[in-house]
Amino acid sequence: MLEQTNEQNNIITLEDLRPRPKEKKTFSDHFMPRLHPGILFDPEKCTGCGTCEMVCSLRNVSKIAPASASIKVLRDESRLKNFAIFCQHCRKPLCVEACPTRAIEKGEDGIVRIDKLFCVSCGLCTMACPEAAPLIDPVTAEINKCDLCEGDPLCVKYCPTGALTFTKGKRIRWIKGLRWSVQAISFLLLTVVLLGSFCSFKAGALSLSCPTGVLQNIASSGKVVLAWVLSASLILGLTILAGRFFCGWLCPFGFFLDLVDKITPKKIGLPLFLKSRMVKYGILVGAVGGSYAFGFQAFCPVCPIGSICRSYGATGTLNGANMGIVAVLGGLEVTERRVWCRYFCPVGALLALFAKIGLIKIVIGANQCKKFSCIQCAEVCPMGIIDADKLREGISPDIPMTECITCMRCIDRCPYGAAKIRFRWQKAVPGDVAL
Amino acid sequence: MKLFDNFYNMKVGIVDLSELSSEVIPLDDDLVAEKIGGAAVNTELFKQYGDGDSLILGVGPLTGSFAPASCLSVATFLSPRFGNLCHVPLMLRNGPEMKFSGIDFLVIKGTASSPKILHLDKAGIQVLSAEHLVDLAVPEALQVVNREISPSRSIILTGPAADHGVSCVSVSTGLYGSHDKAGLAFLMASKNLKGIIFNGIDGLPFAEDNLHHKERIEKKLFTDKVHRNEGFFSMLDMIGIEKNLKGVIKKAKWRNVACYHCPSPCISSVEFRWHDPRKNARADDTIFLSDHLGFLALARKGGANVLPLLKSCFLFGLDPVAVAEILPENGSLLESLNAIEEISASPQGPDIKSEPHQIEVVSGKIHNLFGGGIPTILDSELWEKRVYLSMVLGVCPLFLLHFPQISDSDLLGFLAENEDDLKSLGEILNYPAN
Repeated sequence: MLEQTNEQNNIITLEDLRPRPKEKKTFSDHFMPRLHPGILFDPEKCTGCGTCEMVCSLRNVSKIAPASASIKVLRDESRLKNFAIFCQHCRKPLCVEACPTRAIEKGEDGIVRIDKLFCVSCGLCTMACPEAAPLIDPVTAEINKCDLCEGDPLCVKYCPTGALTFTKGKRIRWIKGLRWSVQAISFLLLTVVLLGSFCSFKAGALSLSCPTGVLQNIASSGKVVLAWVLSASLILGLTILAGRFFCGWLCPFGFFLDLVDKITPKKIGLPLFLKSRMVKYGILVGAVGGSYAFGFQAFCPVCPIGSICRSYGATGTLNGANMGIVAVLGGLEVTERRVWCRYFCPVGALLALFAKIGLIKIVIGANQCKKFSCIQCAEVCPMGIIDADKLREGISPDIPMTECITCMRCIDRCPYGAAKIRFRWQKAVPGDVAL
Repeated sequence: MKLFDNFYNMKVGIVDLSELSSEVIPLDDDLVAEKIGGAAVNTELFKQYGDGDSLILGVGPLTGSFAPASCLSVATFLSPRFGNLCHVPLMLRNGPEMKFSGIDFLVIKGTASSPKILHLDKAGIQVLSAEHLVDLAVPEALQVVNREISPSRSIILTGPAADHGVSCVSVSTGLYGSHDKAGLAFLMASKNLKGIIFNGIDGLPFAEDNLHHKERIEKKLFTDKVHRNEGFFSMLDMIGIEKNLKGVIKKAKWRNVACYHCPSPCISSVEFRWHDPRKNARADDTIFLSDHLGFLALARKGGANVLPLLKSCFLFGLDPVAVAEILPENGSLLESLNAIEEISASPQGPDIKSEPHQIEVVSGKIHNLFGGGIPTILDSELWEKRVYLSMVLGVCPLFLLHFPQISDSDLLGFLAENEDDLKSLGEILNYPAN
């Protein structure tokens, strides 16, 4: 209606003058997303000398005037850290949305630029920006914003301590595709194709069993049979080598939860009293104790992994009870992602004990991270174990390998290569300076 | 010569505290051509405007420029402690911020009737009341300044000890002390001047060849692209700290801090945990270590308790070197902290006319001439020349002492356009002849 009126009255709208570029997402973007270049800041290395401000002001106002720079170093003598404020060239820049004259645009190259011709210095971009990165020049009142010096930032070039580094971004998305494929194949193998199930099956000389099932077997029968132990050792050995790889890549119920998660993106949260990661260890102890007390595998009849495996395939018995368990636990996915795996799964609890002595770890180097504007690793982590607040403070978070399911989503998603997989004995965070 | 084009605003600020007036006048071209800047121009201004108790603050031509460690401003005054005209180096960001506020030299005359604080920015110089800052510890006073007067980009402040008339005081360039061992804080307190705020929002013209010259010098100094050192501790090593004393503090968590545009930091911020005997509780604290001689003096007296003692000195605005002489021998931490509190509360400090508190200084005269706070790293003659050069040009003396391979012509290369310029500048700066 309004458009019609404008057209009739020959009114030129902002859309006519500065049409907002339409977001074109091609098929290849899903697999090879565009690069997000940016500057990375390591507070541990920053001495607060202000060389970055000096050289930046040369570009902005052609003189040495640190107050007119697009980067601002916040020096705090009462704390152990300096902090630098500068544009992070966000994936979805709030400044672009806030600008009433559409003077700010994100280019095809990922750089967010301000067109001073259209800028009216209203300062709304500064207010909208989570970093307050567009800085108001105290002399000219113009907005100064980093444009990465068109790909060769001066601040990075002249930083004497290497606290600032430039990255063109990183492309790794193949992990995502690979993981979904492995999960799907594993689901089919364990539920449909293979004779038996995850709980216990034989393929020629190879015998595999669920380690929690074996533990319950031992408790209920009072016997330790070497064949059982050996059949459980494959998954336990895999856990020592690659963490809870089974949970992230092979578990059929985990795959089911990931599928459910796709259709329930909004989470309502779990009551606080249930949010303890120790509960699963309690369930594991209960399962073993119950098996000992009752003389049969106490947890297996209600195990969702077993339920999903036993329901289909050549030997599958599709029954209402098993399907009900799967449906109810799948429904819990509306509260949090992988809620069963986080808090309740006794199989995961047993694997967690072995992951604790495992050979690998996931590290996220805060020095390579872009903090406020990103935190994608914390967003995608299905187990919710990445402390976004620590990253915002510039501290590399500890990733507990007992909780990590080695899904590698953080590695896959991080556009700056800050998330890495490392051997346990390697330095905690690559590039960190020991204090 | 590029001396006037790119390096000065060519302005002098004159403040009369008795009249509470200020004005900004042009800087005499001839004076700059003859004396270059810094301590040399300060001395001339002291003679011109000197009424015996004037305080002159000035920058060198390289202050705020692309010269490495171009952080220096110099305070020139008749030292109440040494009795001679002396030049105290003020580092961190005071010099560049003063220059960016549009004033190269500041002459402060007279005595105010009540505590005042000066505020320098592009609009000029304001004399503001500072009565509400009296008796506040340095961090608290700084907070009040930021909240009620101006969010300062840089500041010089005296502490509560100076308010009480204590003689062994030192100004704070920020939260934690300075290299003032010559009585600058005492002089400021006697003039009822609580502090000076610099809000440099303007800038300096830029000469592109200076950027290239900077790159050449730094390439000569540092083989790696990224230069790393141990900050405050590397300087302590050069002065010659005992291993056991260094071990005490190196256990703490620390990070290097640099003054304006310094590629080789000599300051460290240290996080430490200690047992506060007054509260009988453990406390986590942070301190900014920039006063090398102060640290050394207190470490030799207080041993493992050096950090809490130093912090206590800084809170009250006391000179740690002087305090170290007064502290009881083999006293407990509680006794030492109480002694510092006592010193700060009463004007019964040491006699300011007494011999300077020296730690392995090159020579009494030269040491006193340059404010008494610059540690000895090089041999006497070289030390003298380097410090003189830095005080005139506006480059950090510690940086120059740290890197003796920087030649005079490296620095003068920023100012000279050709060989003739370089030669004439060298002649002007021929120390001690001129």
